[in-house]
Amino acid sequence: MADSAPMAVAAGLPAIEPEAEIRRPWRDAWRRFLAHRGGLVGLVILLLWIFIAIAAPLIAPYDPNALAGRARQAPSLLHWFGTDQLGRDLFSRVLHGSRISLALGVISVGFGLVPGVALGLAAGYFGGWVDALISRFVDAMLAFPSIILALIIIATLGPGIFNVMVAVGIAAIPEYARLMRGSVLAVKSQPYVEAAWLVGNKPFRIMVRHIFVNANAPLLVFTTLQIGNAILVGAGLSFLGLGAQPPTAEWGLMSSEGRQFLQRAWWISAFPALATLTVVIAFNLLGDGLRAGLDPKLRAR
Amino acid sequence: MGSYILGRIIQLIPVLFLISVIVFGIMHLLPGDPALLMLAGAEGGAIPPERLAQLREQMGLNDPLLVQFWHFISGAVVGDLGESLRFREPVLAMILDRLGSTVELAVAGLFCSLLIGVPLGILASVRQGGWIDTICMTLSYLGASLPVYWLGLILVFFFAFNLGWFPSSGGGSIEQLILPALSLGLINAGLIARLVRSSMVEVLGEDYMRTGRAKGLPPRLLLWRHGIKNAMIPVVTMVGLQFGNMLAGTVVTETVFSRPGVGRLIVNAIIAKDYPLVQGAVLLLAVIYVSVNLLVDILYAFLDPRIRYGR
Repeated sequence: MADSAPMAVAAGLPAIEPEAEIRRPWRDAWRRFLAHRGGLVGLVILLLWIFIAIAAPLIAPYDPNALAGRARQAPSLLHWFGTDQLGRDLFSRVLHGSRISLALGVISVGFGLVPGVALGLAAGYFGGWVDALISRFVDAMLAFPSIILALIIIATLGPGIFNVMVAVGIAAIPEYARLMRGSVLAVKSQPYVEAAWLVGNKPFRIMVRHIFVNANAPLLVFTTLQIGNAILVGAGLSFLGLGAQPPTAEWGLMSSEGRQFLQRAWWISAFPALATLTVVIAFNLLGDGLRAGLDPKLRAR
Repeated sequence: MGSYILGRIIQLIPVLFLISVIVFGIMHLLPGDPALLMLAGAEGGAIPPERLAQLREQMGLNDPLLVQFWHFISGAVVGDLGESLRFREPVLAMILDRLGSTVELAVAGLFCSLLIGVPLGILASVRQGGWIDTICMTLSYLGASLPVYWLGLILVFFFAFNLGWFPSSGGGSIEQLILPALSLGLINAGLIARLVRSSMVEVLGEDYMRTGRAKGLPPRLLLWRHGIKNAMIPVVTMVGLQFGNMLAGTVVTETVFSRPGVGRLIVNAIIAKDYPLVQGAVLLLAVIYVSVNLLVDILYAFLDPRIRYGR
C-alpha cells in the first residue's frame, strides 16, 4: 500500500485542482487503514512471510530435503522446530514451505479473478440475456461448496500442486463474477458512464476504463481474503494427498506426514499448521483492514 | 404458502439441470483424459495405445459429447449414476451406504457450531466491546484461518491420546462422533457468532426495542421476546449455507478421524481415478446442499411472513 499515489493515478482519479476542495481518496483510505490496527498487524506478518519466502535458501539453517540428523527429534537449539519423520530439519522445511503457499494463494486467485471478473463485468454491463445466462450458471456453480467444486476439477486434472492451484482458482470464479456484477450495477448508472458512452466509447473500453476502475475496491478486499482462503483450502487438499507430493516441503502435506507420529512427535504436524494459520490470519486481518480503509460506511459498524 | 413452496420446488429443476451440466462439463471439457489417468493409475509404466483406445471406447468417451451427456443425465434422473470402476458396484448404492454417517457428522457439527456460536454472539452483542466480544472476534478469526485438519489433530492429541476421553478414529458410535463434530463445529462457531452478533446489534437498535424499554418491560423479557426472536431470522438462512460448509468440511474431517463417509469416499475415488464414483458423489452432495437450502428458504418464509406476501 506504500504506492498509493501511483495507484490513484492508475485509477484515473481527477488531478487535484487548486480551487476545488482537495480530495485525496487514497490517502484517506490509507489513514483509515492505519486506524484499523488489525490490518496493519496483518500487513506486517504478511511482509515477514514474503521476506521469508524470498530469502528461504539464505536463512534456512539446513537443506529442506537433506537429512539433518536423527528422525523425530524434539525442538531444540540445534533444530528449532525439531526434525521430521525422516530426520529433515523442520524449521528449514517450514521456511521453504512458505514459497509454495504464497505462490498457491497468488496463482490460484489469478485463475479465479480473471475469468470471474470478465464474466461479472459482461453480465452487469450488458444485462438482458447475457446477464440471465451468466447469472444462472453462476448461481448453479454457487450450489457447490467451493472445496467440492475444487475436488471435481482435481479429479479431472489429476492430483498435483499446480492442479490444486487451478482447481481452487476456478472454484472461486462464481464468487468473483457475482461480486463484480454487483459492483458494476452500482456504478453503471452513474453520469460519467453515460457520458463515456455518449462520446462514442466502445463497450470494452467503458467496461475497463470507467466501470472496472471505479468498482475495484470490493474486489481488492475480496481478493485479499480469497488469497488466504485459497492457501487454507490448498493446504487442506495437500493434506488429503491431492496436492503437493512427497518430498515437497508443503505445509498441508507436512502436517499430514506428521499425523501418524502425532502422539510421539506432535511438532511434525503442528509447526507447518501453525505457519499456515499465521499466513491465513495475516490475509484475513489485512482484508478487514482494507475494507475499513476503502469503505468508510463499514467503519461505523 | 402452498403455492410459494410449489414455486420454489419448480425453480429447483433448472438449477439441478445446470448442476449436472457443470459436473459433466468440468469432467469432460477440462484437459485431462480420464482413460489415460485411469490406466496410468492402475497399471503405470508405458501405456499401449491400443489399450487406451479400447478403454476409451468402453467408457463411451468416443461418443459425441451430447450423447455422453444424455447417457449421464438420463441415468441420473432415475438414480443410475453408473458403476464404480474400481469396485464394480453401483455408485448410488456405495454413496447411500456412507451418506448416513456423513449427514450425521454434518448435522452434529452444525449443532455444535450453533450451540457455541449463538449464545456467544448474543452475549457479545449485549456487552459490546466486553471480553466476550473479544472472544467472539478472536474465535471468528481463528475459525476462518485455522486449518480444519490441525484442529482435528489437536483435539485427537488432547482428548484421545492424553486424556483418553474419546476414541481417535472410526465411526458408528456417539463417542466417535464427538471429536469430529467438535472440530467442524468450532471452526464454524466464530462465523455463526459474528453473524448472530451483527444481527442482534441491528435488532437492538430498532424502534420497538426502545419502545419496549420506555414502557418498562423487564430487560430480560424484552431481550428474549423482542430481541433474540427477531435477530434469529437471518441466522436461519445462514444455517442452510453453513450446512454446505459442513458437508464440504467432512471431506477433510473424515480423513483426519478415519471415519467412513462420502467425503473420504470422494478423496479415495480421486486418488484411485474412479471417475464415475467422483462424478456421482459430487452430484449427490450438490443436490443435497441445494435441497437443504430450499428447505431453509421455506422455513424462512414460515418465520417471516413478509417473504411470502412480498412476492
